[in-house]
This record gives sequence, structure tokens and C-alpha cells, in this order.
Amino acid sequence: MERYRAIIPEWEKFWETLVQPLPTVIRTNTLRIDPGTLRRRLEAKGFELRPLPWDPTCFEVTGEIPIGNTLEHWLGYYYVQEATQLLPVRALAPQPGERILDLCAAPGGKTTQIAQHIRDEGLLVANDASVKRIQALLANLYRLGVRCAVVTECPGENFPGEARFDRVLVDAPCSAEGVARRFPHLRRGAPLATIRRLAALQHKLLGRALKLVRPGGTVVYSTCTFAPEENEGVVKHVLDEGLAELVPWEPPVPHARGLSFFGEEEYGPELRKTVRLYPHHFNSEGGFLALLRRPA
Amino acid sequence: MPSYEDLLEEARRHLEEFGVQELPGRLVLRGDSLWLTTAPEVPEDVRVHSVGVRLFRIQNHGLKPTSFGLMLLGARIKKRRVELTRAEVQELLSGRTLRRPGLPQGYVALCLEGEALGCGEVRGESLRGQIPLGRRQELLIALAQEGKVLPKPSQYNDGKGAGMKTQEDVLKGAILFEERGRIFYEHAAQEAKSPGVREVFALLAQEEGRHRDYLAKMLAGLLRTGKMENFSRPASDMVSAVLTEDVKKGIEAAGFEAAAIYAGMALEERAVAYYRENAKKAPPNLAELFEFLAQWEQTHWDLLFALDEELRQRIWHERGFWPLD
Repeated sequence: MERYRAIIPEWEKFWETLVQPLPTVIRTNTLRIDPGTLRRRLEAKGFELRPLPWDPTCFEVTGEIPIGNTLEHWLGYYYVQEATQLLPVRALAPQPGERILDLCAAPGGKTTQIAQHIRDEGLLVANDASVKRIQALLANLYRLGVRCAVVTECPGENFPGEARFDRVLVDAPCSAEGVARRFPHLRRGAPLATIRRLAALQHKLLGRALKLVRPGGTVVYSTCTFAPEENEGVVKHVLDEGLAELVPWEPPVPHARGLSFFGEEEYGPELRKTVRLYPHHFNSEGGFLALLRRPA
Repeated sequence: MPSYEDLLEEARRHLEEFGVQELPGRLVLRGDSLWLTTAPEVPEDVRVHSVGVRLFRIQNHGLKPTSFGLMLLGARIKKRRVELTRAEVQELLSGRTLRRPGLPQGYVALCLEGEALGCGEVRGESLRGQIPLGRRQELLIALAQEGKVLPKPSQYNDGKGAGMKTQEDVLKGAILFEERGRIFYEHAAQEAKSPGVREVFALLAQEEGRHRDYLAKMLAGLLRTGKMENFSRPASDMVSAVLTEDVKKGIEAAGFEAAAIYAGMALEERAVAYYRENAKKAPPNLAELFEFLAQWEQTHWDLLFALDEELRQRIWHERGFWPLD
């Protein structure tokens, strides 16, 4: 991670936060239950719940037993989802009745969140390249009772078609440095070779997504890594190819703007429209997201 | 294979039997299943795994409602609901049948605290669960974990509202605990794939059975004479001696054994707390027995904890690392 010292603000605070325990956050499955009822039920089981100030359907939870081991979780009344991971779908802003593609959907946290946003009305294609990971995706979709989702198996970069969706989410496979609070070995940072390999795949995925969305349609590109090569670098690539334009987006949480350069790599001021999320800003994990529009 | 129209007709009949008046979506035939979906279309140029939620599986004898489907229909199900207690649900999840005369024959919705859990089947007077194994294990663990924070049996299980106070009640509660443990470990021994692990669970089942028999003997004496016999320690095996390297290696980290170990730990933890709590209130000879049983159950917990620790790293590797959500 040392190579990010120059780009991550309040480096010492960032590093201190990485060794702090991560708060547990749950998202109410509003397709099945309202947040107030869920809160009362979990409080009756000894949990303490505090609504997130920027999303009252989500709660920070503490309790004696793991939050994944309750009847309510088994019944699909909520999904355990880290706060940072709630933001890409918020940026995507899917609407009921639309055609939406989640290109790298498993295990389904963001897919089920999209289903809630569109009130289970519309076409939600939840795609993944891995059969093994699709099993987890299916389990979560069934548990949460999502009816509008069609689960498909296809390498995202080869997903067929042209201009067939209103919105596409590319929550790309990444080096996952942003989740180092949960997985301490990631504090070392990812090897550069891995980062470069992933960046090549991410470019293909984002390029395909921009072909699959209709002209004027929205694509959100997100990762859970700090590596600029996988973030600003990938977005810059598709901008240079004329496939997309960047749309500014203000998250409801403290954040940093995207980088205009990293080391000797120039990304340009346009990339300041993207968003960087750091663990010490709102006691979360870390990540990156960009809101893009396919030129009309 | 029946036609789509025939299948739809059969599905309508089933739904009528369950008292479902309006379906929240349309039914789509795909593969061996009828799916409930709100999706307006299904892409045909890419491999499709699912369309909404599977509501019925097509089987040789007709349609079978799925547990996820019944759970989704939830409050829309007005008929063929079978309300169960937590203890009954745990029995069904452990693969046992319940004797429930008077229920309609065929598929029913198993319900707990008003919530539809999934599919059950009634044959004659027997009720059997049809919830898939993986889901059963998850619910078993959830109920065992919740047991730690919900009111303890001594506070709610006696039907008198004032807690278990007599020696007879305390002994009955303890017998119930031991019997539940025996059933749980017996089932775990049947399901475990590894011979070594099977032996561990079988041994734990035997021990719980011995505790039950010993307590039952004491209860019989109490009922016969009105007095509690003096406690003499029953023989115990050295459980920790069975935790060999072969046993450790034989556990399938992401399989049934892992879930059963976890559920067993919760069960033992609760048993230890129960015995310790009642030891404080009981007369000296009974208090000594309960303290001894608490220690004995603690050795079970220690064994399961050691197995669980062994599994942690392996579960991590077997499930694959993909921390995006």
C-alpha cells in the first residue's frame, strides 16, 4: 500500500483505520419487510440497530450473535452489506420498468439492491462468468425473493448484443485492496502484475458494458480497490476511445475525488468527476466508482 | 412431459389448495421447473440459469412446490399452513418426522411464528420437512444461535409462567436437553461423510443418551420415593482422546460436518448455561449432579471448538476468496 502514500489523504489516519474492526451494516430487503418492523424484530433478539444517516433502510448493527445467524436473515428480510458497497447502485439510480444489466453480479448484494430500487418491476439480468459464484448469487436472489431477475452465465466481456439495456452496472473483479480491514493480508497491497492483469480485463468489461447500454444510457463502473490502474486508468481508456462521457456524482458520504494523475501517469482533470472512497472517511471499506453515460 | 397448459392448470390447482388467490408475477416454464417472475422477457442468446424464483419442480408424480416459492408467497398462503414450535422445527430440520394427525394429505407450508419457512409433506399422520439440506443446516444454526439470546427454557418452557422450581421440573428439563442433544448428534453421525467424524458424532450421541438414561433413573426414583437419591458420578469417556489427526483431516470444511459442529457448539453452550444456572438453585446433591453435567457438556464444547478452529482456514480456502460484497 506504501505506493499510495502520496495520493491517500491523511495517510496515518487511513492506516490506523485499516486495523480497526469494521462496523456491520445490514440493508433491509424492502421487497419483503419495512425497516421499522425489521428493527423491532432484531431489537427483540438483543441487537442494537442504528440507521445510517444517509439511508434509513440500512442499519449499523451490534449484537451477541452473528447477524447472519437469525431467522430474519434466513427468511431474506435483510442482506449484510458493507456501507461502501451500497453506493454503486445508488449512483446507478435504476428505475422501475427499466432493463438493467448487472454484468458481474455474484454473489448478489448489488443485484438484490437494484431489485429493491426498481420495486421488482422490469428486467434485471444478473450475469456472472463463474458457475460456482452463480450458486451464491442464486441462493441470495431466492432468499430475498427477487422475481424480476434472470440469471445468466457468460464471461462479461463477451456478453452478446448491442444497446439492449437502459443501465449497466460493472462491479468489476479487482485486486480488492479496499477490503483490507476484513482481510488483513490485503494490507500489503496487490502485486503490480495482478493489478495490470485485472486492469486489462476491467477495460474489456467496461468497453462491453458501454456497447450493451443504449445511447444516452448509464453505466456505473465500481471496484473495491485503491489501485489507480484499475480505476482512473480503466475509465480514461474508454473515454479516450470515445465510448463514454463522465457524469459528476456526489455521494452522500465523505469522499475524495478521482485522481488526475498517479506517478508519471496522466489521467487528466476530467477524472476528478470520479469518486474515491477511503476507510477513514466514514468508517467503512474503500473503493472507487465512476458514473458514465454512453454518448447519444 | 405434460403440456405447458396442463402444467399451468395443475399449478393453479395447487395454488388454490394453498388458498393463494393472486400470484405476484407470471409463471414461466423452463427446464424442469415452473418459475415465478415479473421479468417481461428472457434473453435467449445467453445461457440462462434462473428466471425469478422457482415455484414448482416438475416431478414424475406431478408438481412439487419449492420451499423458496412458498417462502416468497408467505402471507398469501391461507390454507395448508402448519404452525410449528421452535422445538418442532428443529426436529424436522434434523430429518425426523412429527406425528401430526388430522392434517391434509400432501404438500403443506411449514410455518414458524407466522412465517412460511418452506415445504413439508404429510403422509398419513406423519409430517416430514422438504426444505433442502443446505437451508435446513442454516436454519438449524440460526435457531441454535438465537437460543442464546431468546428467553432460556427455565423461563418459558414449563407452561406455568413462573420458571422451573421443583426438582422434578429441573430433572425433566435436563432430560429434554440430553435427548435433544442425542437426536442432534445421532442425525449428524448419519449425515457425516467422513468415518472419523461420524465416530465423533456417534460418541457424543452415546454420551448424551447415557446422561439422559441416568437422569431418567433419578427422576423415576424421585417420583417413586418422593426423595432425590444420592448422586454418584456416571462413568465418562475421555472425549478429547478422539480428536486425532485423521478425524481433523476427514472433515469436509464446507459441508454438513462444519455446520453440524457449529450448531453442536451452540447446543452445548446452552446446556452448560442451563446446568450452571440450575445448580445455583438446587439442593446440594442435585447441584453437584448439575455441576458435573455442566463440566461434562463443557468437554463436548471443547472438542467441537477444537474441530471448529481446525476448520476455519480450510473453509476460507474451499469457498474461494472474492470479497466484493
